[in-house]
Amino acid sequence: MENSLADTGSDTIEQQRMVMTIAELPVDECWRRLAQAPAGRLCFVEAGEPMVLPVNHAVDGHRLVIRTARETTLHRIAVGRSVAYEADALTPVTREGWSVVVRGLIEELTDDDELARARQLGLHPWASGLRDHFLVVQPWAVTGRQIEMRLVDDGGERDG
Amino acid sequence: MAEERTGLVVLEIDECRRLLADAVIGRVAFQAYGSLELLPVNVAVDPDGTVVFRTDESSVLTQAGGQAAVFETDGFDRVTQTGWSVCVRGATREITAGDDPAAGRLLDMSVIPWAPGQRDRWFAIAPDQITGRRIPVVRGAEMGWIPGVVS
Repeated sequence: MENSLADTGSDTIEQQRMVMTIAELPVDECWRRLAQAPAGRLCFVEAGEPMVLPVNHAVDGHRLVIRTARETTLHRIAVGRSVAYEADALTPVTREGWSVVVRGLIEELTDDDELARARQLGLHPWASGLRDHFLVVQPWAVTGRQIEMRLVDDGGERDG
Repeated sequence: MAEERTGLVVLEIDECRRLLADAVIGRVAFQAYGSLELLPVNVAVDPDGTVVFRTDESSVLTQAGGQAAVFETDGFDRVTQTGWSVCVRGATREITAGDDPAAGRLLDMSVIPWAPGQRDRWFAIAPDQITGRRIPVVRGAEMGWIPGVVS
């Protein structure tokens, strides 16, 4: 996959070599990471331009659940749209980390059983006030990658 | 000032700029080939709010040139014990030394790419709109806030 992280290379540190490896994460692992990360960024297009909203989320099976209120930007604009949702954990100093992106359609939960189930997810939105609406991202694509640095003891040649 | 309805604190522009000045990583959102892209990038932010990032020929990030984009960065402030998020919205352009009056300044910024290797395409997001919000500690703790950037 082409993106800012999809690259390999090395930095020379004395006689050892720091090798960066970038691995695509299997889909199940992507969901496991998403479940560990309570927060992410929801991106959608409004009036032809991208918008990004940081929100927290829960994972229910293979879908993302977000809790919100009807009067919020999130509810007013995002419902029914194609969205991309990104969560990550990145460490600038070591340049290690992971990033997962879910693409899908965002819908509101209306079924009583589904709502009861969503209320069990322990999802507390950041913004206070009445938050009696649950949105789900029904995914059609989930991608993720892991970036790691490894020290290799094979001299100082660069291969980047 | 706190937003009464939601309890989130809307950040003043000066505080957004202060937080942006220290940003080294964030995410860029834009449309490419009809698809939404949302990618982590390393950045440097000019004092005027211009977000600068580098990439190479093979990256989808090169498609951000000429497009409306949003840069988002967030973190946790240990002093005030609050989580925060700042967004910069604006048009993205490729920085070319020949005809960009700001090129000299922007190309001199220290942008350390995440991945080593050739990163000779430089891009800038001109800040049309800068917004930010802060989430107070009690609320953050209750809600399991962790910053997107682990430091």
